[in-house]
Order: sequence, then structure tokens, then C-alpha cells
Amino acid sequence: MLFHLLWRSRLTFVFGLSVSLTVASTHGQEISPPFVAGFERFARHGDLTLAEAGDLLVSELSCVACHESANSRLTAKRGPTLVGAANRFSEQWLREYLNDPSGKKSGTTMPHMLGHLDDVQRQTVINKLVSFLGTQKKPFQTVRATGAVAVMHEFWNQGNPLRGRNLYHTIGCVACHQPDEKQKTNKAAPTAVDQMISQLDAEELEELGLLRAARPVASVPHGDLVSKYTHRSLTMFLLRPESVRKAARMPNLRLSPSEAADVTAYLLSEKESGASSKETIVDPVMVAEGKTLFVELQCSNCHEATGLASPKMATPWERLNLESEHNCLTRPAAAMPDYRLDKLQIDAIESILESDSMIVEMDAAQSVHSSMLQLNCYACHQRETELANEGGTGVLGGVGRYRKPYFEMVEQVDLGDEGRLPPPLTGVGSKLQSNALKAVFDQRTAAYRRHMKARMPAYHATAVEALVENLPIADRAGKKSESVVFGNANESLFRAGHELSGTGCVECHYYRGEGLPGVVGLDLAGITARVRPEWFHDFVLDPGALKNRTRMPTFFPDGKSNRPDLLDGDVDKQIASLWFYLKELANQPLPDKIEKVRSQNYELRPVDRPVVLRSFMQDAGTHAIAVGFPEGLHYSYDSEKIRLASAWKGRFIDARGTWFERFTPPAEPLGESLMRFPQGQPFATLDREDARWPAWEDQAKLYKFGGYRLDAKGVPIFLYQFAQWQMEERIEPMGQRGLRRQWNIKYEGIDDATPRDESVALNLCVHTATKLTRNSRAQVDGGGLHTRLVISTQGVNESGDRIIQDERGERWIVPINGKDQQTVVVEYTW
Amino acid sequence: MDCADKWKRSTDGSGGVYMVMRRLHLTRFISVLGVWFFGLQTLVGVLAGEDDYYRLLSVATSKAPTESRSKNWKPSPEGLPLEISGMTFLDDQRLAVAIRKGEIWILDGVYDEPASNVTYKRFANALHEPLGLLQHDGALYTAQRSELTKIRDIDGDDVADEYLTAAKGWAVTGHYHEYAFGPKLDADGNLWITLNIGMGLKGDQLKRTVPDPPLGYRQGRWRGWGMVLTPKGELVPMCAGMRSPSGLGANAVGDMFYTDQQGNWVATNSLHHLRAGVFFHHAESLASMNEPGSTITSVKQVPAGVPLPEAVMQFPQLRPPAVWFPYKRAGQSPTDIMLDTSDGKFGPFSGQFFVGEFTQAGVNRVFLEKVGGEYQGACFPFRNGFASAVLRLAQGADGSMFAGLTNRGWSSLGNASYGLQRLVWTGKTPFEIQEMRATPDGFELLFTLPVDSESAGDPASYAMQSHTYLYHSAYGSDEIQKQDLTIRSATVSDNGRRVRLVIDGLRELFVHALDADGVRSKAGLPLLHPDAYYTLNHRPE
Repeated sequence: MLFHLLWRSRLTFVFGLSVSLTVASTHGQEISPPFVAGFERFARHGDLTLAEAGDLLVSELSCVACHESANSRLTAKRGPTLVGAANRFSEQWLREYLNDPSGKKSGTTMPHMLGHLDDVQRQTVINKLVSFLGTQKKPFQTVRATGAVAVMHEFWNQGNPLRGRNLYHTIGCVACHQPDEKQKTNKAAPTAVDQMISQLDAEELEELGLLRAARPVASVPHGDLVSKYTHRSLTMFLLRPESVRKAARMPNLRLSPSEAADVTAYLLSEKESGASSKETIVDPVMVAEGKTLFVELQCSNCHEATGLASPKMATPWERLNLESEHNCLTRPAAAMPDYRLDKLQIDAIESILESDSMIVEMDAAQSVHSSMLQLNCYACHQRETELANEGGTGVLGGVGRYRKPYFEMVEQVDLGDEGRLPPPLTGVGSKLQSNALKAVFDQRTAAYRRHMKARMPAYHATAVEALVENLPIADRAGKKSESVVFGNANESLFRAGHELSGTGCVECHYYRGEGLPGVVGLDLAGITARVRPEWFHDFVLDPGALKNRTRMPTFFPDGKSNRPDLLDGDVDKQIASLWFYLKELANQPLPDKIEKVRSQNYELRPVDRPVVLRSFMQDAGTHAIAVGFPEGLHYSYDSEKIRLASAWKGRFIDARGTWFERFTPPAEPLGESLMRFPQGQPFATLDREDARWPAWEDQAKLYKFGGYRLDAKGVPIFLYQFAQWQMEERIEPMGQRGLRRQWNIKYEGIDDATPRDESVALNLCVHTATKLTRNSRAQVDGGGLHTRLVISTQGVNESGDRIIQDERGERWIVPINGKDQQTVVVEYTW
Repeated sequence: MDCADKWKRSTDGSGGVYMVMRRLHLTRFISVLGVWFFGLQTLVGVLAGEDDYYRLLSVATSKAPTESRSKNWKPSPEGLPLEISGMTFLDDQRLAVAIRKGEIWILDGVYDEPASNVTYKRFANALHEPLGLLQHDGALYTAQRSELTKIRDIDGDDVADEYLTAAKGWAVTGHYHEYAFGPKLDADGNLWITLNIGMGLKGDQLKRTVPDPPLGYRQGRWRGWGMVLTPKGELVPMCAGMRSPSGLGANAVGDMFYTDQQGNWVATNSLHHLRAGVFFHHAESLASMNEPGSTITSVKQVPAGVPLPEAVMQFPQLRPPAVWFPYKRAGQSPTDIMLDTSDGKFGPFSGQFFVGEFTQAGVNRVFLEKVGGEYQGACFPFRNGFASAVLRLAQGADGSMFAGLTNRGWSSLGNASYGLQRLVWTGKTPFEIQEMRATPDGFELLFTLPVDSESAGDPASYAMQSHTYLYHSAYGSDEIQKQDLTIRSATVSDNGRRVRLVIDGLRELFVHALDADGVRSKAGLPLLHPDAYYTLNHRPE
């Protein structure tokens, strides 16, 4: 056997020289058996039973793609679709790969199909296959550009290898693939366990059960990407690997188009020059023969292509006979696939063939284990698994030794391994609700652990169907409903949850996008749609019991609450209160500490001088000007309809929405004692003494808003024209009592056009529901608003003020007469 | 056709140099470089990239802790949220910038290299999303959502105390998309303002729309219109049909232009000449057609779902843009317009427009000419790699280009969320298509450097494809009626700077996309940007 292999490799070498200078030589290197990540990492070290290892190889080597089996336990990974192969792979690479698959791509799971042919024959076959594959053209998908997705012209050529290198080493590629040792990593302190491992010898490691953790993990080989791909084809592959490899052994890393181009630029940075891609002359005879050979050689059993006859099946799995003269495991005959398996691999597959137990369906736990081996979830995630070999359970997987430094947090904050490494999956089926579990794999789901640079890849639903189905069963997920676990929600629970959140949770967690400075933990918004109620209860009660070495502390030491004042100190009720508060978080106040920080950043607090904010406001409309005063009395002004719109006391206003929110929500007054002033413009022309007050729409044309000027104290003086008068209006608080509003009125009409007496009036007060109450000549109350006329140029008692009636109610007005400069001052209290 | 990969150099966000590869026609290149290796045509050598001609410097850039589209968007906790939405130079040193949160700041030291001692002084605040800034008439003017405001300091403390309403009168329904941009000054002393259309108005917003509008379109008054404030102080509606006119700019003779962004009714990004009485794309702006002062009348029906050349025939007020920017190929979202008035201090493109690009964080270039009394011309890729979305451009006294960046609300390439960058010409002339003019039988190209007459005189060094767009209410349009054109001949002028292309099958109202990938300069350089897109509304007589 060994001789046979060596002989073959020498042949390849000689052949390679004779055909092309650029064929990668296999001289001097061991023939590499197929590389199956789970097999290399676990089976070779006795972590799997022979049967588990065999199962894995049967699926990854796609045995049942040819040896059909009725046993649903046996699946075939199959190879990439070759529809579009002509655009995706270079012809030269295809030739070299077909000539010697594992020589060209070390560890490939594709068997050598042409090993039995002599050089000339093999070249003929390759020519035909390549001719056929040359017809497998499929235009690359167009990547849609939107406001959210930048797609540069020929973006696949615009990649930046430095950025690509960083992405490759931080988003998770190096969990499976080889990192570049020269890549700088953030020098996160190694964890205690890793430190210990580095100081122990093998015997001690074994004693402590750390052998598995101490083992370096072999890298999934890339193969010769440079000769295989163009920048475009690799970029498109990285962007949507599932479109050509349905089995998703290479998952979708959620790259943006420019990121995919960056990673490509890095991976192909050696691609200094390209061979001239001459238009191959298509020989229809060669194509037709290639197509026949594609089926004949059983390529089509694993690879999709267009226009093929039905695949040619081999002996059904159940009728395979290990004793027969030829078999593809040990003694491939001519035209049998040659996988170049090593001894252990052969033993593993034989064990499946020999075993009667293969008829038995896997249980849920075995199925999860099997899926995780196939998809190599273990490259990132640990999970406690039944280890039949050891007669007990053990923890398998997790980011391998020497790879952990590449896993970083987004900011240089230390949350330990929990903050940078993908989470362990022990018990995850009992943690996540089924929909949330499914969503984890969905490309549309936003990243949950935003502090982590590594990305959870996306998978097509069919690739993870078994995993999603079996995880909850394997982990015996609780089926208790929310009301069984927590009872029913009520106001006092919301309040207690709000209060409890503030006592500890806020130190590490975000609440709907808001958090304390320096905090980088998970956002708890949406948590109740993500985790199961029972898990939430148990985890909050004692986090360490469900998650080893978590940084989440318990707030119920010895099962007792340290807030006996809340809900009678009832632990279950307190946990329920957190659940219900978080469930209603969108409509609940933020925890006080977070609200305080938020408001420090965005709440406007007038200290020495007034503060102005222009925004949209409920009462003052879309031309609102809010003015806040250090006295704690504030108002809003509608500069479209030129009216004092509202006033309030206490806190002024939160500006975040106005400053930083795309969708421009109206700014809300924060304080209390909100007084809404009645609708209507301040001045109007009146036809007769008893005329009704005209509608704004009828007089809008007489107004022209002129903006404002800040006086020495910083108080805005609104400037506007009304008919022939120029108005200056100033509003400021009188301590805490109310507002003082002053108009300076100046006639700016043409001299000889004397205004008619009694024609213009100032509206001081109106109330629509009740009658105005006149306490004295100068004071009127309506709807809780006390209005006092303080100064009038004519004298308060001689101002000619009166109450008129219109369809809106009663109205207190002061006539504005003549051309002399006039001043009117009114005080409002409420 | 023989191809190979060529190398280009460019800059990544952090200023490092990297290389990208591009396809190029190699036959001639090989003869230039004389490289032949074992039957493989191989290119050795590194060609210069954008970075070698225009250096990108950061004055200040920051990254927000939240994603650009986050509802909870927050600026970096450090420093000023320099989301630049307006820029105007006060003098040879000081730059005034408007920022989106509603303030105006005066920056000094922006020319320093490195710009490590920039000073910031707040001049004005309490503006509602100002989206422009202009020093004019002894004051700063900015368009806020609801008005054009004239801002002055009257007590001499360098802090504004007068916020006078220079113009108002357009509706603000409260929909976020109703941005107001400007102002910029034209040759007649008019201040131009452009008003975004609203999108999908709801609730109270509908109460603020034009009552009983023609054609049933629900929009606020003058939404989708270009307005001017005349020197007499009147606000006058001028032209309609805008969607998202975020960039304004006058050319060397003071004619005003604006850029529009792909979306409903707008097939792809575009540049238009602003004139009274013309209509551009967005039909819903016709809600204001019957308002007093409207310059557009008696549109009875808007064609929809027809190719642009047909729409132009059916709809007399509809004027095609002076330049279409083919989507993705020449950006995804054009913004500000900067006229190069540096007289050569910014390289060989004096008198041309530079147009900011939001999503792709870059700048494109535009050449315009007048044919048949109307502006038309070509756009060219110019520079990418800015740290964030380019919203505003301004030229400094030394000719360098300042780019105001902010990507909040949408997304962009680049590592930053907002800031100020500066693009400086290195003094080295890039090999570019400087001008592309229409001729009766083709195009005439002016190159920035003398060409290699063999490659430039070979029609095979050029490829041209033309296309037009659908005029319809849907979001954007594919390129339709595509046709590959035959380059009959390419004739190099005596001085080697001009090439005259004779081309079959030119079509009016079609974009003519030129790929001059095969042309080499006399020194053997390929074009820095081989692509040009000419909008051929009229063929010269």
C-alpha cells in the first residue's frame, strides 16, 4: 500500500514536470488523507468511538452518494455545484486538481478518479472533463447596492488586503483555518486554564483531564486559492458560500461586499500576475464526451451540473462486501474512487459497514453531536457530550489552543474569555426558545454579542434543520409556559423589576441601546423572546450553576434576596419581576442610573443662560422653538403660527432625538405643570368692535416671522411683522411663578396711510370651554391660567381692553392703536 | 482578447498603501514593458494609484459606538460630533462648519499637517438640522428644516446673537425626509435652496399637505422644488421634480446645478441645471403646481413606465439631467458640488465640478459643455477611500479640497462615522480623461497627459456601450436598451493630448459609457480611471 502510494506520487511529479511548469509538486510530501475537521481533532485522539468516527467519514466522504442506502442515518455531504464552474475556477487549476486532487489540495475529500489511467489517457479524460466544465457558465449574481450596502464598481477588485487580513484573523476564519503567526493579536491575558496547561507535562495534563484542551487543532487547508480563483470568483464565494456549497461546511461569515473583497485581497495577495485567459475553442465533441464522462466517472453523484443523464450508482450500501476483490476503501479497482484513506479512517468506515447497529436511528443527543462534528461547530463552541469511549460525558470543542488570541472584543475591555470566545453550547437547547435558536443561523438576524469580534456564521435553514430540531430535545428543554413559571404580570412587578435592574444588572448590561459608560455587556431588550422562562429563572437565581465561570454574579446568595424590601423579599417573585419588566422594556422607564447618564448627555439643562432648541414638538408644531430657563420654567413657541404654544416647569427637554435621530421624533417637554396655550394668533385685524376673532388661515398672510435676536441675558426676542406693525416679543419667567410676556410694537407703515382706529387688537387670553372670569380690570382667569395685564402704554385701566365672544369662547383683547411705539406686558401664572 | 492583471496603489482608511488588481488589456502593455515569461504573459511592476496624485489627510474623524442606522445612534463620547452638513471658508484660514445636531463651529488650523492643533469655537446653536452654510452679505446663511436663516454676531464676541429668518414658506409636514439644503449663490445674486420630497406621509403630516392638490399627489407646499431668495428678499419657487437634492453648486459663470439621488421616479443619480420652469423627475412635487408663484403649469398627466426618451417627448417640462451617474459605477448617492476655482492648484481639472459621494465615501468628477443651448457632459470616478460618507465639499485657499463627512441614518464605506478630511494634490499629474466632448460623429477626448499614439490611435483600445433608463414611479431603474457601439476610428491630435473617436450608433438621451482601458500615456501609463459616462442629450450639429 505504502509503495503503491509513493509510486503514484512520483508518477504525478514526473507528469507534472512534463505538462506544465506550474503544477504543484507533491514530491517529497506525504500523500494527505482526506481532512475532516472533527475526525482530525477528535477521532484521532480517541474522543470518538469508531462508529462515531465512521459515521462522520461516511457523510463527509459522501459514500452514500454512490452506495445508496435506505438508512436515513447515513447522509452524504456531496461536493460543490459545478454550475458556474467555468466562471469560478481557472482552467489550469481544474486540470491540476483533476490530475491529482489531494496533491493539488491537501486533505481534499474528493477522491482521485483518474489514478488508474496512464498519463496520456488521463490527459485525454481531463481535456474532455474540462471542456465540459467550460460550458458550465453562470453569470455571477449581481450584488444589490442600497443606502445600507455600498457596492463599488467591480468591488471584487477594490479589496484592501490589510483590512482583509484583520477580518480573517478576527471574525472567526482562524477557528478553522491557519492563522498567520505574524498577525498581531491583542495581548489578552491567557486564561487561568491556558496558563496552567502551558506549565504542565503530559502526565499531569492527563491527570487533570486537560489533555484535550492542550491539543493543538489542525487547520482546514485552503488549497491553492491563488491558482484556483479570480478576485471576483473568490469574493462572490465568500459572500455567499451556500450558493455553491449547500452542505455549508464553509459557512457564511456575514461579510459585506467590501469585506468579502478585502478578505479576497488578503487571501490572493500572492496573486501577482494572472495567466492569460485565452478564450478556449469549444469542441462540441469534446464537450459531449466530457459530459458523458462526468456521469460515467460518477462526478455527477456529488456535483451538480446542467444537462446531465441520471447518476450512475454503485453497489448499494447494504450489499457492500468488505471481502470482495476490490473496494474503494483499501483496494480500489480501476475507475473506483481513490480516497487515499489512512488506516484509522479505513477502520472507522469498516466499523460502520460491519456494524448491525447502524440500523438504529440516532437519538437527539447523538444527532446533535453528529451535526456539530459535520458542521464543525466544535471549532468554536464547547459542548458537554456523551463520550461513549470514556463511558461518561466530557467537554468537546471550543476554540483550539494557540488560536484563542485571535478572538477579541470590539473594545479593549476585559470581559475575560466569556466576552471574546464564542459561547459554550452545553444546555443551549434548554436555554433558547425554538424560534430564537432558529434565528441564530439566519443571515438577517443582527449580531447579539456585539462586543465580540468573532461572528456567528449564517447557515441555510436546511443545513441546520437537524440541529435546530434536536438541540431542545437533547437538552431536555423545559416546556413550562411563562405564566406557569412566573405567574401573571402586574404593575407592582414592573416597578420592582425596574428597581432591581438598577441594583446590579445595569453595571454590565445595556437596556434598549442605553447603558452606563464603559459597559459593554449584552442588551437585555428582547431577552424574553430569546430565552426560555425556566432557564431565565434558574440562571438569574444562580448563574454559575448553568454556566461555568460566568462573570454574571448571583444576586441571590444562598437563594436569598439582598433586597428584602421588594416584593417581601420573595426570590421567585423578584425574578418574575425582572422577566416582566424586561418583557415590557420598550414601554417601561429605563433603570434610573442609565436614565441619569442618558439625560446628562442629552437633557438640556439651562444653568446660567437660557437654552434654545429648534425641533418638532407636539404643541408647537414643525417650526417649534423651545426655550428653557435656569429658573426652571420653560416654553415652546410656534414660529409658523407665531404663537406661544406651551409652557412647563421643572426639567426642560431631551435633545437626543432632535440632534441624532434620523426619523426626527418630536421633542417632548420633560417637566411637569404643562400649560397649553389656546390656539390662535396674538394679533388680528378686526372689522368692528364686536367682531369675531379671525381664523389664523385668514390672517396668515399679514404675518411674517423674522426670527429672533438674543438679548444681553440670552433671552430670545422674537421678531415679526404683522400688517404694518413690527413686533418684538420677549417671554421670560418670573422666578418660579410664571411667565412674563412683553410686546414692543412699532408702526412701520407708510406715513400717510394712517391706520384705522380700533382696527388691530392683541389677544391676551382665550378659553374655549369655560367663561373667562374677570377678577379685576387687569386680571382674567380661564382654564387654570391666570392672565394679568401689567403694562400698557395707554395705561392698564385705559387700555380699552375688553372681552369679546366668538365661536371658540370668550377672548380678552387689547386694542393696538396709532403709530406710536407701544408696549404691552402680560403675566401668566398657573 | 489577452488580459492580465494590473496593479494599482491606493490607500486604506489608516493611510497604509495596498494594492488592488484590475483587468487590463495587455498586448500593448507587454510591448511597453517587454515582459515575456515561459509562455505566460506577466506584468511586473507597480503602477501608481489615486493616492499618488491626491493625498487624503484627516483633520478630525471619529467613530460612533453605534451603527450608522441605529435608532439609538450616539456620537463618540470624545470630542465634538463633527457631522459636517455645511462648510464655508470665512477667510484664508478659518473654516466655518455646520453640524447636523444644529450648531455652527469655527475651525482654525485645518491646514496644518498633521492637523493636530485645530481649534474649535462654537458660533451658533439651536438650528434644526442645518444642511448648508454660506458666508454672504456679512453673515452666515444656513437652511434649517423650516427656514433659511441669516446668522450674525452683533456684539462682537464671535458668538451669534441674531438668527434672522431670511426666508420661509415651504411646508414642513414633520416627515423626516423633508430636508432643506442650501443656500448657494448664483450669478444673479440669488440664494438657492432645494427641498426634499416627503415619503409616505401619515397622520398629522397629511394635514400639512397642499389642500386639494392637482393629480392627487400628497405633498407639502414646495416639497421637491428648488427655490431662490432673490436679492430683493423674495422667496420664489423656480423648478420642480426633485427627490433628494442634497447638493448645490454654481459653475464658473454662475449657473446653478443640483444633484439628485436614485429613488422613486429617479432612475439613477443625476446632475441638473437649475432654471425657472423646468421639471426634473419626481412627480409628487406637482402637488404645488397650482400654488401661487408656481412656474410649472398645466401638466395634465405624468407619463410613467416609459423609457426616458419617450417621457421627454410626452412631458415637455421634463428636462433630462445634464449628467446621469450610472448606479454603482459612478457612485450610489451624490451629494455636494464643488467647483474647482483653484486655477491649477488642485491639479488639471480647474473649472470642473467635483461631486461628493455618500455611500461609497468618495468623490466623482464632472465635465460639462453646452450643446444645443443646454448643459450636458460626462462624469468620471475621481477618488475613493474617504473615512466616511462625503456630504459636503469646500475648496480651501490653497486649492485643496475639504470633505465634510457623516454617514448617520444611512451607511457608507470607511471606518469613521463623521469628521473632516482634506484632499491635497501632490503636484503629480494623473493620467486621466480630462474632458469628453460630444462631436457630430462621436466624442473628442482631452487627456491630462500626452498619449502614446499607437495605443490611443487604436480603436480597439476603446469600448463603448450606451443605455437609457425607465421613467417610472418605482425606486430606481435598470439600465435599459443597452447597446454595444462600434468605434470606427481613433485619431490622435498633433500635440498628443486629444483623441477624436468616430462612433457608430450614437443615440440622443442615452448615456454613453466609455471604457478606454487600452489607452496608454506617452510614458506608458494606463489611465488612472479608464471609465467615463457621457449623457448625450443632444448631438452637436
